[in-house]
Amino acid sequence: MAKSFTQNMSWLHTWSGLFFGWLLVPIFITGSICVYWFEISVWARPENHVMREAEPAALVEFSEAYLKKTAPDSRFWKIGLPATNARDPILYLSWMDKQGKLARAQFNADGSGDPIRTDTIGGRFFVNFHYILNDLPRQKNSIGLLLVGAASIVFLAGVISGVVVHKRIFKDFFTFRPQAKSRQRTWLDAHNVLSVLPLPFHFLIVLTGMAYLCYAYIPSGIATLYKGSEPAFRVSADFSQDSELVDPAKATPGPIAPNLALALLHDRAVAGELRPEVMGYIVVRDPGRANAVVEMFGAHRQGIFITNSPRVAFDGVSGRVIRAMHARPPISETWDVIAGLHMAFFGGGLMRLLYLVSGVAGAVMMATGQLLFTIKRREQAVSPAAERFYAIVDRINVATMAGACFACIAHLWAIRLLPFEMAGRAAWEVNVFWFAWALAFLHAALRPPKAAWVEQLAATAVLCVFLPVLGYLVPNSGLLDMIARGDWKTAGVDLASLGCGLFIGWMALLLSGERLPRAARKSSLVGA
Amino acid sequence: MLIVVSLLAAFSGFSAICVSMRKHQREVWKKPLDRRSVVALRLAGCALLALAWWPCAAIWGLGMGTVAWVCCVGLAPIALVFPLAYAPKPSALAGGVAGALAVVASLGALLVH
Repeated sequence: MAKSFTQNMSWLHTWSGLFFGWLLVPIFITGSICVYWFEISVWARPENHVMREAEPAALVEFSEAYLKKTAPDSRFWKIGLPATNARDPILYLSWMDKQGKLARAQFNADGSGDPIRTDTIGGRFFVNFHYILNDLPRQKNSIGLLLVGAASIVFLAGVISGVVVHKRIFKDFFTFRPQAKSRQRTWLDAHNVLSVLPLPFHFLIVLTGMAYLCYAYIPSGIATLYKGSEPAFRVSADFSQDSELVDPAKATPGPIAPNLALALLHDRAVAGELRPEVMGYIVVRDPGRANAVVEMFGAHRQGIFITNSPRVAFDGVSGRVIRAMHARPPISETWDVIAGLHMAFFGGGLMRLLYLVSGVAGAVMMATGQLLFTIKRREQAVSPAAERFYAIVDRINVATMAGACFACIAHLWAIRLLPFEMAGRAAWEVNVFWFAWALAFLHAALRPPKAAWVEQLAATAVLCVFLPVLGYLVPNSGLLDMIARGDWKTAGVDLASLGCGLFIGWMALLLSGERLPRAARKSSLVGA
Repeated sequence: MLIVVSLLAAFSGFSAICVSMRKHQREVWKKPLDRRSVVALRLAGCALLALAWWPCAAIWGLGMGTVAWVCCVGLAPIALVFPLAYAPKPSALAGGVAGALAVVASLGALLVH
């Protein structure tokens, strides 16, 4: 007998949702966290905290002196001013070393010239996990990238098939029945409410996430047009008007390039829009040679057009403007809108808060869907094999959802607790994430699912609630001190952890009372 | 803090639309409302949802403001649906209060401008 359209959609929704949900829930959790990844990076470097950034000109002067001493022969210097990542006050220098490798150094942006010694991954791991599932370079890790892409397609299909399956979408728009006889009904209501209401946002976030990386998901375009070279594609899409590097061997030696700090002032006169306050980064090609080119880029503008910033290039010897530019090619602008929409680069902290809560709602929505699968089927299991399968699903559910939260907070604990002078510290911060997650899988395999849920959520809640306390073990990070000096960027990480801890603890309490008779459940909720 | 006005308006707008539905009227008032009140509630609900857009647009401009509005309109009613199941009357009342606050705050903001 041919199945109806609704039945087909229901099959698709159930099974693709189940298997990819295991990926999508951790992706949504880390995605929500990495809305604040700059803030986490600042939070992760307590001994380098900067309350007031130095003037851009002073920073450029310092950078130039440092680079002239460290890398006089490099073919290029790049000076990333703090305005590039306005949320992360760091002066970021890079150059080409004698072996032709990219070398870099980071400094406190307060003008003290203190190098940043903490070897920490900061918030970056959450970003990497969110889009490639680990922290290998993306080019070596197409499996992670493609899995996330596949999961995104499944999510979009799940949204559409979910609307088809959910026939009473408008009638049940506001329906949640906690007193319903079957638990399945209650969970289904919760699942529906959390998916229907934020649906437009979830659709937008996943679609823009995929569109942003379209060139990586479908590499045939780059393979055909740019011989597989992604940098060549980026140059063509982003910087199509750049001139070629002149080989210094062919260049005649000339006077040393003028002081960059002066160039900064020079630039102010040239490009009215590119004021020093919004200077993003400076690239010097062939510094100190006759063919030196100094190019300055504006920082991300606060707007949907995140990188559509003005730039100006001038001759590094005469100071003559070679080219000033105020607009980018349309493809670049389109890309920026998509990236801006996905990563909440615009709109400031408030907008990011909306993104965070919406993302968490998405994670909880999918978690309820995963739970529904086993709640609905366990009782109707037709064979011992089916029962075994549902038992395994139950355990994977615990480890991929509660376990992922546990691993995330364990990662933040590692960032706080690993000794600053430890070798390979950043790698160990990431290792702790994986160990914690493996532990969660082991725990879920050994304990009954119900107990595993409660215990993992409770452990996560405890770690979240006590994360702010760890701040008192490292410099400059006591929660109350941070609040007192108005350092909301870093205090926010601790406060958010505290809030999440309370929320997750509350969920653990709810679940712990789940199967008890109603009267007993009430007393357990109140008594605990 | 304008964003709070948007969240309040979204919350109250959905509350009004919610209680305009017969099944939720039973939860809140035990008996259904008359036709005219239902229409009035729906219109008020839509108007409040539209009002929720204004603070977002005022903060972020048309483009970004619309994204923020989508977030607000998606999130605020979650705070309605779950309490509604446990305490229908206070939830509906909260919707009304939120609506009044949103309208007053918007008018206040307009006057200040």
